[in-house]
Amino acid sequence: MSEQTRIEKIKYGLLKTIDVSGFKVFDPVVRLIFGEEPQKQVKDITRFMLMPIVFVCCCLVAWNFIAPRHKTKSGEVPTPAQVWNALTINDTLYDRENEKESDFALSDDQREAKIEEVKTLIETKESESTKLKEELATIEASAKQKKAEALAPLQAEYSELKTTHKEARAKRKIEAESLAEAVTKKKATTEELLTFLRDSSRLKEDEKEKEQIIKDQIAEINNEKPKSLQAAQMASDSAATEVQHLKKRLDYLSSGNRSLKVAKAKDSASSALTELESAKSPAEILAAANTVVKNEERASKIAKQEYPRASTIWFQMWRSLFTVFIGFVLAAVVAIPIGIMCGLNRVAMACLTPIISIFKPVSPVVWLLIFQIVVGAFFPNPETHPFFVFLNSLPIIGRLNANPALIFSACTVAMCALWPALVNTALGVSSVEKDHMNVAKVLRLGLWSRLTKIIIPSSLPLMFAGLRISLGVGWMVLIAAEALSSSEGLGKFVWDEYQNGSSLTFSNILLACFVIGIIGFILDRIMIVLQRAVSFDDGAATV
Amino acid sequence: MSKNTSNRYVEISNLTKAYPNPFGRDIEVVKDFNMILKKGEIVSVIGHSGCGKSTVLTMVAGLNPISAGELAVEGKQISGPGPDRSVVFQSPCLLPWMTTLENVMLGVKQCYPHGTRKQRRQICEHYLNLVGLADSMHKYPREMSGGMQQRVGIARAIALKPQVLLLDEPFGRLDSLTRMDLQDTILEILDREKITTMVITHDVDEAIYMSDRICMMTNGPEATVGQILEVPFARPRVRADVLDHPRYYDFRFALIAFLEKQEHSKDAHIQAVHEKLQQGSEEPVSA
Amino acid sequence: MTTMTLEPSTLTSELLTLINYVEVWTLPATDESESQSVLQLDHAYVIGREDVRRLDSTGRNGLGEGIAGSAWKQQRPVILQGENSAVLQHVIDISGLPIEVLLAIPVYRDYQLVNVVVFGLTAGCGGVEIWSRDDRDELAISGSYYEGLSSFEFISQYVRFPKGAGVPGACWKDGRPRIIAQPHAAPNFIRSFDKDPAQLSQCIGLPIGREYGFAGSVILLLSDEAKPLARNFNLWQCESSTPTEGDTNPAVRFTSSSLDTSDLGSDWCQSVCDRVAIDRQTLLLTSGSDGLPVGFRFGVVIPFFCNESIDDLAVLLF
Ligand SMILES: Nc1ncnc2c1ncn2[C@@H]1O[C@H](COP(=O)(O)OP(=O)(O)OP(=O)(O)O)[C@@H](O)[C@H]1O
Ligand SMILES: [Mg+2]
Repeated sequence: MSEQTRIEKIKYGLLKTIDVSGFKVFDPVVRLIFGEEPQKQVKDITRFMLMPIVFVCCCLVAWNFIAPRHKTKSGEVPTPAQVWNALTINDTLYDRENEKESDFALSDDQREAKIEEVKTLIETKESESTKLKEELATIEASAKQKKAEALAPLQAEYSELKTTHKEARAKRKIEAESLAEAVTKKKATTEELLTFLRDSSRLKEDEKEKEQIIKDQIAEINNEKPKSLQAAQMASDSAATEVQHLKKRLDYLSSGNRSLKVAKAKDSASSALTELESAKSPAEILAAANTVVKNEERASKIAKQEYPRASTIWFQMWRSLFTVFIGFVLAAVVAIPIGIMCGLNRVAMACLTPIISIFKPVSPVVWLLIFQIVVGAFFPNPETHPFFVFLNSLPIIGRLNANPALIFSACTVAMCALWPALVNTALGVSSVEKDHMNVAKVLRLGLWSRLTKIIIPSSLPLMFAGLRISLGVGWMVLIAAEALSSSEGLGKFVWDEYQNGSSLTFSNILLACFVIGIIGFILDRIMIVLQRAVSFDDGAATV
Repeated sequence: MSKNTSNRYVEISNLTKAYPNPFGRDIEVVKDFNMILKKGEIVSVIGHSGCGKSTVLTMVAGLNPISAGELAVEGKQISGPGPDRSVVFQSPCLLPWMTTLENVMLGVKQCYPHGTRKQRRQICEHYLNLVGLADSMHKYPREMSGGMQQRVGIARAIALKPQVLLLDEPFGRLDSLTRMDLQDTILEILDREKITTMVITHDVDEAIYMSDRICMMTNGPEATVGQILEVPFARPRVRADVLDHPRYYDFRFALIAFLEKQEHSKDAHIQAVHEKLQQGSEEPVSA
Repeated sequence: MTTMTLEPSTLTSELLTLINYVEVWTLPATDESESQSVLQLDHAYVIGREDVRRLDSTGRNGLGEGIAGSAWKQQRPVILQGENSAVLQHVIDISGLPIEVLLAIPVYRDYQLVNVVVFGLTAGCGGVEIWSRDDRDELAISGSYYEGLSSFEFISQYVRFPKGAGVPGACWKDGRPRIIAQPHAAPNFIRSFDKDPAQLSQCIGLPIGREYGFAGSVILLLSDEAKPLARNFNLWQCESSTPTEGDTNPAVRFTSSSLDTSDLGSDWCQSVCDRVAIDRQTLLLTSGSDGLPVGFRFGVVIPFFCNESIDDLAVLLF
């Protein structure tokens, strides 16, 4: 009996968590697991889980089918598999950066061990790579041969066609000349000559067309890359980059290593110190002393140095999240007090209404430019500005490389995310139930308790609804702002990809599209959970 | 306390409420309302819907500014709302983001600013016990029935140790069993605490059972006291005894007859007031 | 110019009236030196079915003595019921008469008592109520007599009227007497007597002023169709009572402009008004000297003063 009640408790606990977190879709799954009305649950699962999954799969299939059929300037539209591939590539890039970073920081025995490890790895990889290269060469050769075979008849046909056409043209030219002569001798009319010329030009067009068809076929065969060749090339390429990466690692473990660099600097400092002791003339002493100090400084600077990471998609993602967070917090900090003020005081509302109405529809691009100018003025020398020095010295945030671009992106986000939060807060505050205000009046609550006990709790749901919209708006605006301001982040990632035009460009852009979408979705869910948590009645909407 | 202030504990004289009327003279919803409550007395106000009962009550509570007339409690003019006159509203009006205990505590904190946390909690628990909600201290309003919520409202009002308790149709939305139960609860508390009470009701039986006097209001606009009926039954009352009283139905009949008469003369009254308003608005036109 | 209009609800009946005995006491105007004054019984009439008989006894009541004296002392109407021995010990022996209840009505002029009118009422359906102000400034019944109205009687003792509410409250508020015909249908007659077998057909409210203050009480006279209070009960209202400037003659001309005066003769009405304006106190009309309208044998005219001027006249004809 008690066992059963415990299970019930677990079940309802789970159901509640699911409900609160906004994943009500999984409700029937949980119920099914606990064996509640299996028939109904299965029905629900098929209707509300399987059907959407099937639909999404259909979409993927359709994508997969349509994508390669649309040729663009920057190559084919990538298929889902290619996007997935791009994801793994980006992921390995990220991993490699991590490896290099840790290598850079290693020292002493660990470093030695790592060197051995990497060296053996290089050996195996190199042999692998050469093998792959050989394979690629053979495949290439065979492909070339195949291509030549396929091309030979076409080329023959083409040259044949060309010669016949040439001849025909020459013949037509002579005929035309004779016709012209006939015209002078009044044996033929000008009319006849004109028609002949028209016909011959038409014929010429036809001939050109025929030639073009064959030319196209040849070009197609030339451009064709057999799947096996493509795969082999990719494999060999990736092996080559892997080898290159390992070599780079070796570099970071040996000469480029931080501890070694520090040691080197310290060495030269100590050697300068001995020099200093043995030095005689004042000029020598001064020079030696200078070298000592310089080298010491360098050593301490290098010791603090971090590995200069190349930006990867995940790094960009974290940075975007950080930026949007700052912008969102800024927006909330500004919007909520002002919103409360507007809701409480009709004069304040009247004062702010024109400002809200005018600035609300302004495009984020304009805000970005304005902030770039205004905020930029505060940081004439960002590297040494205490604010950034402070931000970049923080443990995790420091790795995100805060700079003025981040600040004005965040400001743009804040500016655009401000309005929904402000308007909703004002609405929430001004629509506090009259009865509740009467309670406050009867109890003679002071302004502070009135705010904290009645007005804010009662307007929290609307406030959070506003913040949720704000966060959504902010996330959208941020991507555009980053693209435009080249502040590191997902927006810049997309923009860079677009500018680079590598073979992966299109896939990467689509990948970024999904990453942005999924993050937006997660942020929204988080806000829903918060909204549900603060709403006092169970009527909060889930979308 | 002098005899005078306890005999005229709450004094309402010529109370008038005029709401602005965009198309003419202001509409005087309540006009020249007079009433005097003795200390510890329970007075019910009965009248047709919309006649202005809540208007009078909110004015006494200080939530609704008065247009004319005077309002005094214990000889002092009323200015604005205050915890000495606590109100139980027509709907329970609990703060939905607070538990039962917190809802009661909100007022208690305000009225016992020098009490310790423990004392305050004891006060809250005491009053929640009185209304029979000892088990539901930590429930949220949404988890409770309408009757329970109304009980919390009553506990909150009484925990303020008010001098005057104002109840606006406190049982309007409850079924008759719950209603009787709550009536007994309130009467018990009022008999013990001797709080001067004004209770608005639609229910004739409730008015007779609960109150010492029944103030019958005429129909609005310009509603006022039509008649007052003293209810001579001794306190504390036992429902069965009151209902079995040989003259109970005479009281009941008097109230119903009054209400019926109001209903019948309604049209004539409205016509009369309307004409008056019309004259008021037309005068400048014809002049 | 002062005009007096006739209330449209004139009560006329050939049947025996509820009031069958009338006394008028006067308080002689006193000099400052004469400290003790007494009420003097001027007239006493018994109204029978066929004739009106004048009782020749005279009497005096000091402050608080007898019914008239106690009305004087209490400054409000006094009611005495039949079984009460005081009725029988009245200055005039009326024990042989069919009188159930005695009602003493003080008449004030400029807050000074001038008359006490005592009515004797026979048995018959109806009632007399004296509504007096209590400590909450509401009117409560301080004396009453009812017949055939047991439920009405019961509930009325618990009823209170604030200023302006119901017939008594209205009389108190404007200080004017009023007649309510068919009270069960009238909007301002609030109490219901539907539970009682009798149907009241008339209700008369008379505000009673008192010394140095405004109306302390209101008399409500209730009667049914079968036995009216008087054969004709009129209220004449003065439309404007301020004497014109420099008018030395206190006898302000009262004119009646009502339709119903044709029954009584407007000349007669005017003469009554003139006489009251000169006497400035309760007036008795007997068939001998005063030329009553045709068919009436006796009349009483009670003035209602506001300060010095007469506002209303209650005219009872038998
Ligand atoms: N703010 C307002 N502006 C104008 N008129 C109002 C306002 N509030 C109330 N009224 C009017 O005043 C009258 C009395 O309203 P009130 O709420 O006091 O009635 P009530 O007697 O309490 O009715 P119920 O029994 O239905 O609660 C109503 O006719 C209403 O139309
Ligand atoms: Mg109401």
